[in-house]
Amino acid sequence: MKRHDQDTDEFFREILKDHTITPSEESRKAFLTDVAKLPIKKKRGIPPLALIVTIMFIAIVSVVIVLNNKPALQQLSEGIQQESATTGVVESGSAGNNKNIPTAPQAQGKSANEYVNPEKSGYLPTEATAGYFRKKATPTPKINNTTTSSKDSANKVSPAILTEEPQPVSGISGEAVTLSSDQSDQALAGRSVTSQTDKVIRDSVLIQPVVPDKSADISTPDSVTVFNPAKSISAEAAPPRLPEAGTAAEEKQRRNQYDYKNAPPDKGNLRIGISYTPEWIFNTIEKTNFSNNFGADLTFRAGQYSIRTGAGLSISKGTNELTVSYNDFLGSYNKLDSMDFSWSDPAHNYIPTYYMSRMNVWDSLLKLDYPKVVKRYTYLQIPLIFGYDFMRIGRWSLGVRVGPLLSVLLQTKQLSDDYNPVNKKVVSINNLPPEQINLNWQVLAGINANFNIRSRLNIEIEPFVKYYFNSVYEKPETGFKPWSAGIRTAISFDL
Amino acid sequence: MGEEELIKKAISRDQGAMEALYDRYAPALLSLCYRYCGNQMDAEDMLHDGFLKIIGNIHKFRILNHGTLLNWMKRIMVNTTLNHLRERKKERIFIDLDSAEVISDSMASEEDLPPDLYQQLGQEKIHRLICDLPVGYRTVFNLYVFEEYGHREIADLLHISENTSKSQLSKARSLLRKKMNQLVNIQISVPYEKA
Repeated sequence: MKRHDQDTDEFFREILKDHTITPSEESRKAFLTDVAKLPIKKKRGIPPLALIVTIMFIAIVSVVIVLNNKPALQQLSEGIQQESATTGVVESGSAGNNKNIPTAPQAQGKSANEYVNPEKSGYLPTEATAGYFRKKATPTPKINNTTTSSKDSANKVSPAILTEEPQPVSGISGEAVTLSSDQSDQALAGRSVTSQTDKVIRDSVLIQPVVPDKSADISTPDSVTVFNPAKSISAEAAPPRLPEAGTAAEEKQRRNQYDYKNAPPDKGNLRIGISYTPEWIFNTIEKTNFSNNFGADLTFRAGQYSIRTGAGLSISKGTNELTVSYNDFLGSYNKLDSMDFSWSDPAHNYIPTYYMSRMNVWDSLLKLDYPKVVKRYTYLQIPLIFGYDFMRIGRWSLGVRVGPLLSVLLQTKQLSDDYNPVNKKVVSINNLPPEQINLNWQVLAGINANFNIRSRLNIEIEPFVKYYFNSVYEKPETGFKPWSAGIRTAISFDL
Repeated sequence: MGEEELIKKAISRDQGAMEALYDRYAPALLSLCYRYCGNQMDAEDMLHDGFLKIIGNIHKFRILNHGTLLNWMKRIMVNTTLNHLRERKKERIFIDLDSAEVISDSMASEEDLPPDLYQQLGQEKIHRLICDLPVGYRTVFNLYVFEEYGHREIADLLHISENTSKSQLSKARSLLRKKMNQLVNIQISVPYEKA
């Protein structure tokens, strides 16, 4: 704004530039007393709102990580739930001393058909017991001192290996083999079974211990092999082969399914949705303002990138303060406007007629009143938000959203009644707060968490902060622009 | 004690530093407050509150961002003063245009006297003339001339229109010129009397 300074302005500036007035001693003392009570300002910490947003972000990421591990956990629980025909497998010589390794039921006194249900017994397959498992689908070497009643247990491996129902499993030769407790002790001879050396075998679907050949070297962990019951089944009846646990390549392949970098590129698609956003605006004339935002969104997605636009309504309330200058009403009197006389014959007299008018009297003193008027403002919001999803695990995706918004004032509606002066004489009415401007721009930054409920249905949660470039909600004395924070919740559908 | 050292000590609430800051800058700031409110008592109240705010926020002062310390203090003091005027509700910052017109009608147009004659009046009289202006004129005049705000900024600060700001400034200048001319004429017309 061009300033058209005059010479008088310069004159005043010059003559008063070093003008001073010495404060009184009382005011000086009062200041020094009060200033001594001021606390020492600590370094500006994290604003509470930023802390809340950070905590929410950490919570969302934690949920994502937990859900990421859910498939593995599920597989593990499935593996545990599978039946095993193991008996006394885990029993060690020092079982009594090692409480972490529960003892499997004794083989003696039990039929060979009986299997140990790990879930019930609490037994987990461990490396310590891996010596009882064979990897190769080769005929079982002759097992000396095999358990009794093996002939009676012509249990066969069934595809139910992969089901939750525990099923007895046959050995390689089609016979179930079980270990007696003595044999298990012999097998474990030389091996210390401790809880520290135990390691859960993730992909073990079935626990089927077999007695190793005596010639087999089971004394060292290197000779431990894993029995894959699936290999012992005939090809026709063989269930789908599971990726072998522990293979690095397979593990990587599995992870890549959920990795943005290695996933096949998505074709662009559209997504429509509706959203609701509660928003708190700070640094305004009314300190904090709350607004409800409703919107319909259209998002174009291409891989990890997205652009969202749409239209929405933002509804908020505001209080305007008026300044009313008035004169107090003091009373009224009858003012004589005119008189008229008429002759009355009977009375032989003039009869007066008075013409009066009612006059109100107001005080000459000008007073001020400050009524408040509540108004509702309705804005049309048009966003243009750019998004980048940096993490997708399973049905969850996490990304950032940044972009501008335009707000256009649609309607201003007064909710409270008009000022009623009653019988006061109003001299002037002025509006103290600034008028609402019709257009303002904001910029938004947020974190978007998207969950795919079903094939095309999604829900989104997006905490954000917004900065207003030019808003009606200004606190002039602070010189800062208002800002806001909120949480956008949306339901969307992929087209 | 240098300014930087004073600031550092004031941040850690050193009593001597805060006292030194007050003694150094309070007179200039009191003059500013006086120009806005017109009387010493209110001015000292505003000075008290404003200086507390200055000390409370002195850790935020950055030379690169805020200029000199005195300018930064003046900005805070102006905002504090305007808040006081608003909150106290004794006087409104604006005046009605109708009443303003009445005043303007009574003012005769005056020709400017040479500035060196105005110099004769001295700081105190000119300061007093500004303080005697109606509150609306005075506020706009101070913000425009001394704080060097533009009319748009003044309008935003005082919640008035730009045109109101311009008209009040113009009337303030006219009124001041008229009063200064009257004072100068009085001084010229008083004969010199020997002691």
